[in-house]
Amino acid sequence: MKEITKSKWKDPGIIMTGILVFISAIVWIWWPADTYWMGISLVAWLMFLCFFIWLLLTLIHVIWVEKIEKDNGKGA
Amino acid sequence: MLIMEAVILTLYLILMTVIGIFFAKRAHSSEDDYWTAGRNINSFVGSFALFAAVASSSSLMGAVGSGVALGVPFLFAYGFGAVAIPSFALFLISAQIRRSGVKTVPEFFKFRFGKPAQLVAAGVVVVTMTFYMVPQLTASGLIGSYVLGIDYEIAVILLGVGFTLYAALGGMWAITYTDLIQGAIMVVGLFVLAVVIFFEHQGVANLVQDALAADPDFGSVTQPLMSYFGLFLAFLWFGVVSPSAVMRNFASRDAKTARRSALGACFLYLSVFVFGFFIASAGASLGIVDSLDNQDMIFISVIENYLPAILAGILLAGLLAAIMSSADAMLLAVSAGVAHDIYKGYINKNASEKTVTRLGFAVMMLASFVGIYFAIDPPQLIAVMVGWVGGALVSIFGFPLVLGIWWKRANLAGALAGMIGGGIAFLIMIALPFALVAEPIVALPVSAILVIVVSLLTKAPSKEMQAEVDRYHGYS
Repeated sequence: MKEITKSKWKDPGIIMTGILVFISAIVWIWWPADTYWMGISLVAWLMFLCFFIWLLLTLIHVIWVEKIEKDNGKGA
Repeated sequence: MLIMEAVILTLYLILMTVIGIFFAKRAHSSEDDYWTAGRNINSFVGSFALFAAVASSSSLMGAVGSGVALGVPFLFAYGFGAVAIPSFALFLISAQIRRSGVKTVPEFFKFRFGKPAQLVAAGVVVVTMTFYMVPQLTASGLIGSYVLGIDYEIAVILLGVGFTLYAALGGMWAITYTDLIQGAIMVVGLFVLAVVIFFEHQGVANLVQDALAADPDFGSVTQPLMSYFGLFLAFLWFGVVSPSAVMRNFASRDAKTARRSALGACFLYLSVFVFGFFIASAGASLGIVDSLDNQDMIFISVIENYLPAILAGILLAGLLAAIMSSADAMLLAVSAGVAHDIYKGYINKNASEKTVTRLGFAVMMLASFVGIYFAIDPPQLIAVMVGWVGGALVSIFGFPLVLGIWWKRANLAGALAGMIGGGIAFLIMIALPFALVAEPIVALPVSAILVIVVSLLTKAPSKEMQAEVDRYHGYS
C-alpha cells in the first residue's frame, strides 16, 4: 500500500500540476500591475509568457508518460 | 444583407448538415458509437475536436470583447487559464477517467461513489449545459442578424434549429468530424486576420501604440485582482469539469492518442490567444468600443474593417463554427444526462439501445428549444453567462471528481456534500455583491473541505472500491 501512495505522488500528472500551480502562484502573489513594458502591464506579459510554459509542460508530460510506457513495455 | 458573407455562411451550414446526415447512419448503429464516435478518433482529429469543443463563442467574441473593454490583462488572464484547459485535464484526470471505462461524467460518479451521486451529477449537467446553450445561441444570433440583415430573434431560431438538427442526427461522429473543419477554419481564419493586422500597423510595437493612443488604459489592470483570479480558476478547471470536453477525451482511439490530442489542443488554444491579442489591439485602435450596443461585437467590427468580404465571410463562418461546435457538445451532454444516466440508469434499466438513442434525440431537440426561448431575450452579457456556467461546474464537480480519482478515502457522503455544498456556496456568492466571476474563489475551497471532512467523518469505501481507485492509476 505504501508503495502505491508513493507512486501516486511521483505520477507525472501530479508533478506537472504542482509545477503549474507553483508558477501561477508566483504571478498571483507578485502581481506587478503597476510596472509597464511597451505600455502594457507586466502582469499581462507574465500571463502571456505562461501560455508557452503551459505548452512546454504538456509536451514534457506527453514525452515522459510515453517513455514510462515504453520502459514498462506497455502500448497504451 | 451582406451578400458575400451570407452566401458563405449558408454554404457552410449546408455542408455541416450534409456531414451530419452522412454520419447519422453510422452513429445510430450502436449506443457506444452515438456517444463517443466508437472511440476511434486519431490524435490530429482529436486535437481539433477537443479544442473546438472547449473554444466556445466566448473564447473568441467574449475574450476579444473583454480585452478591448477591460484591457489586455483581462484577455491574458482569460488565456492564462484557458490555454491550460487541455493540459490541466490531461495531468489530473484524463488517463484515469479513461481507465475507469465510463462514458459520461455522471457515470463516473455512479461507479466511484454510487447512484445518488450519479443522479445529482446528471441533474447538474442537464441544468448547466441547457443554460450554457443560451450564450451560444445569443452569439450566433448576433452574427446571424448582422450578416443576414434579419431580426435577432429570427436569427436565433433559424441558426439554433439548423445546428441542432445535424448534432441530433449524427451524435458524436458528426460533431467530431465537423469539429475538424470548424477548428481549422477558426485557427486559420484568426491567423490570416492577425497577419493582415500585423502588416497594416507595420509591426507589433506600432499596433500596441495605436491601441494605446485610442485607449490609454488598454494595457492596464482595470479590475480587482479577484476578478482576474476567478476567471483564471473557472477556465483552468473547465476541461476537468465540463461534461462536453471530457467526453471528447473518451472518443480517442487509445490513451496515447488522448494525450497527444490534449497537446495539440493546447497548441491550438495558445495560437488563438496570440492571434486574439492582435485582434483585441486592432479593436482598441478603432476607438469605437464605447459606441457599440454590445461590446462583444468588436470582434465582428475588426473582421469587417480589416478583411475583404470573402475572407470576412469565411471567418464569420469560423466564428459561428466555434459556437455551433460548443453548443452541439453541450446538447450531447444534456442528451446523455437524461437518456443514458437518468432514464437508463433509473427509470428503465432494460431499455434497448435504440430507445435510449431515440430518447437522446428528443431530449436534444427539447434542450435546444429551451435554449432558443431564453436566448431570444438573454438575461446577461455572453461573458457573464459563460463565467457563471464555468464557475458553477467548477464549484460543484471540481473537487468531488479530482479527489474521487486521487483519494481512495473519498466516499459517497463526501462527494454529495462537496457537490451540494459547492453549488450552494456558488449561488450564495452570486447573490452577494462580490467581484464579477469571482464566485469559485470561495465555492471551490468550500467544496474541497466538505469532501475531505465529510468523507473522514463517515465510513471508508469498501476494499474493492479502494482497489478500483488504484486501478485508475494503472496499479493493480
